[in-house]
This record gives sequence, structure tokens and C-alpha cells, in this order.
Amino acid sequence: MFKIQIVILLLIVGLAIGFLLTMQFRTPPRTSNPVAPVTALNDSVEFLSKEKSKLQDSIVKLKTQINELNKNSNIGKTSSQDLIGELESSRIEAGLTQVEGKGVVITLADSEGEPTTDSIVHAADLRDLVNQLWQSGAENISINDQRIVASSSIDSIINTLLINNIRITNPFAISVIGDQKKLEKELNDETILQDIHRRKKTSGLIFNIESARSITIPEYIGGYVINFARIIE
Amino acid sequence: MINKYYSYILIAILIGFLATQQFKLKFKVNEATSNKSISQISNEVEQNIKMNAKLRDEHASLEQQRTSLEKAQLSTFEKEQSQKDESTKLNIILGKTKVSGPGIAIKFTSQIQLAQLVDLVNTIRNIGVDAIVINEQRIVIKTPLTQEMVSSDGLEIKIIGDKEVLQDSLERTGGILGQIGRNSEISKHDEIVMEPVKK
Repeated sequence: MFKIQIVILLLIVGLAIGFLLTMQFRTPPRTSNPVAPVTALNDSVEFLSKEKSKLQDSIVKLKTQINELNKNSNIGKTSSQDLIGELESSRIEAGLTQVEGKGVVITLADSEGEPTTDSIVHAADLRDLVNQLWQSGAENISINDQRIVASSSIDSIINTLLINNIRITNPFAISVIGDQKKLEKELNDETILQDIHRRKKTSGLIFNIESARSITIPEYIGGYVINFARIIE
Repeated sequence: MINKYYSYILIAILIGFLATQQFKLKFKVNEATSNKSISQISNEVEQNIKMNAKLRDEHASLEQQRTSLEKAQLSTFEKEQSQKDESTKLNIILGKTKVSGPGIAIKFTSQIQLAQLVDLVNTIRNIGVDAIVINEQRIVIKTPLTQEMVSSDGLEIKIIGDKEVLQDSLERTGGILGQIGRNSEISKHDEIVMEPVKK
């Protein structure tokens, strides 16, 4: 009786091993590999990222060349002198040159504690902050060295943020050139940017403002494209 | 007797190893092919395609400008023309001049929140446009979006840009206008006129 039990047990064990070995080493099924679409998508992401880097590098080189070519213009002629002056002024206003001045540096960062919806920085927080800064009279703004210009958008993709189509990550350093007293007063006012102030208190979101005597804000790396609008007199 | 027990132990270890491998493999395949994972990566691919298209446009514009300036090295007149073209472009961006062009108008039938307006203008900029007005006020780089804009009845946003792309992007299912609520109408126009920024 005992021998029969042993035999049955060994039979079951043998069947189990055979089954598992078969599953492990079976020949590939004729149906398609379920992981293939994911692999293809990941390959696409990698290819597009490389293409993006190449384009960005090329844009930086082109801008340098264009600046050089413009510098070599003949400033002796008065008509072109006026035009160059106007153009230079417009470039500064449009964020196409580096600028320096007094202002504030804001740190907006995820809480150091357990991550929750309220304790991490969202793209909407940066959008609201930038909008408030313009309202508080900011002259120039950058976020993690990305200049905020007329065509700038602040978006999120999966777990990272994008500004000017460039990925930026936590922590976020917002450099602002403008009236320091006004900026500090309005940014520290808890009736303004209420959600950020609430989350700072309740969820540990980091939101600090510091005055700085000399802030450098880099130029916008990119160009403007106008396809549809025409000036009418 | 002892050999028999060693055999049992070896067999148990082998079964355990094979079972674990099988479950791990199944788990990894399920994780990689989960709808959430494929959807996230697809979304990233779509965003990257859009980003790269914008970068290619910018690149082409800068190349054209450089070529124009290089040619203009031989001709002061052509160089001035290239600089005038750049000045014209920047004047449009900075809202210094009256402009016209094709585009769309978005009219809201009920009030929206300021945060929603901020998100909407962000989306419009992401799509890529030439000029924007809100309630006939030209919106440029430093123009803040204010509570006053959303408090008035009949908020209207006009945009000069690719009207087909604008309408499709803004009205797509789950897009920004859907998130704000079904309280807006988009109309396409062949010509929208915008005044310069008021000084």
C-alpha cells in the first residue's frame, strides 16, 4: 500500500516536471510575439529622441551662424543702422538674447516625503506660476534654463515635464528678472497661488522664493515660425 | 534511504525553480503588454512625433534665414531685406503691428475658470500659432491671463494659424475643450484681423 502511494506520488511529480519543462522549452508558438509591439514602440521612442537631439544641436549651430552673419553687417550706413537697432531691440524683447538683472529665484520641487498627487509638482503648477509672474510684472522668466517666450508651452508626458519641447525634471528653478519687492510680496501672498501655498503647508510641496542681485536668463534656443499672419497697414 | 530523500529534495527544488520561472515570465510579459504600458509609450511616441515636426519647421526656417544672410553677404540690399523680414516676423510675435490671416474663433457660452483659460492658451501655443487675441486683446509674451477675462460674459478667443489643425486638435475627444466642458463653439475663418497690443 505504501509502495503504491510512493509510485503515485512519483508519477504526479514526474508529470509536473514534464509539464513545466515543456512550458519552459516549448518551441515558439506560431502566434506573434506579444512583446514585439512594445519593443517596436520603444525603438520608435529611441529613434525619435535621437532625431530630436540632432535637430536641437543643429538649431543651436544655425543660430550662432546667423548671429555672426548679422554682426558682420555694415553699420556705417544710417538706414541699416536704424534697422539693426530696431531688430536688436526686438530680439531682446522676443527672448532671443541672454539677459541679466535683479530679480528672484523660485524653487518649486516635489516634497521629500511620500509622493502623492498634492506633494509633487505638476505642469499646471508651473503654468499658473508663470501666469502669475507676468501679472506681477516679471520682465523675463526661465525654468531650468528654458527661456519662456511667446511660443512656449509647459506640458507633461508620462512622468516628466516639457518646456519648449525640452524635458525638464524636478527640482524646478524659476529665474525671474523684475521688481524684487513686488515679486516677493505677491508670491508670498497666500491669497494668490492658493493651491501651491495650501499644498506647501499640508503636503510638504517645496516652494521657496529668494531675491538675487544678479540673475542670468539664457536666450531661447529655437526660432519663430510665422506661416499665416501678415502685417496689414 | 538517504539517497531517496536527496532525490525528493532535488526534484522539489527543480519543480520550484521551473514554476517560479514560468510565473515570472508570464508576469513580465503581462506587465510589458499591459494596456497601460502600451498606451503610455504610444502617447510618448505621438508627442515626440509632434515635437520633432515643430523642430523641423524651426530648423527649416533658420536654414532659410542663414542662406539668405549668406547670399546677402555679397549684397547689402539683400542683407537689409533679410533683416527686414526678421524684423517683420518679430513684430508679429511681439504684437507690435496689426495683422490678419486665416484661423479660428472659439466662443464660450458660459463662464470658465482662470486655470482652464491658462491651460487652453498653453494648448494653443503647443499646437503652434501665429497670433492670439482674447476678447479683442492681443496676447503676447508677457500678457497675463486675468480673472477679468474669464469673468466677462461671452469669452471669445481668436487665433491666426492652421484652422484645420487647430479645430481638430482642440475638439478631439478628451482634448482640452472637452475637459473644460461642452460650452464652446469653434468657427473657422479665412481672415481674422487683430489689432496690435495697446500701449
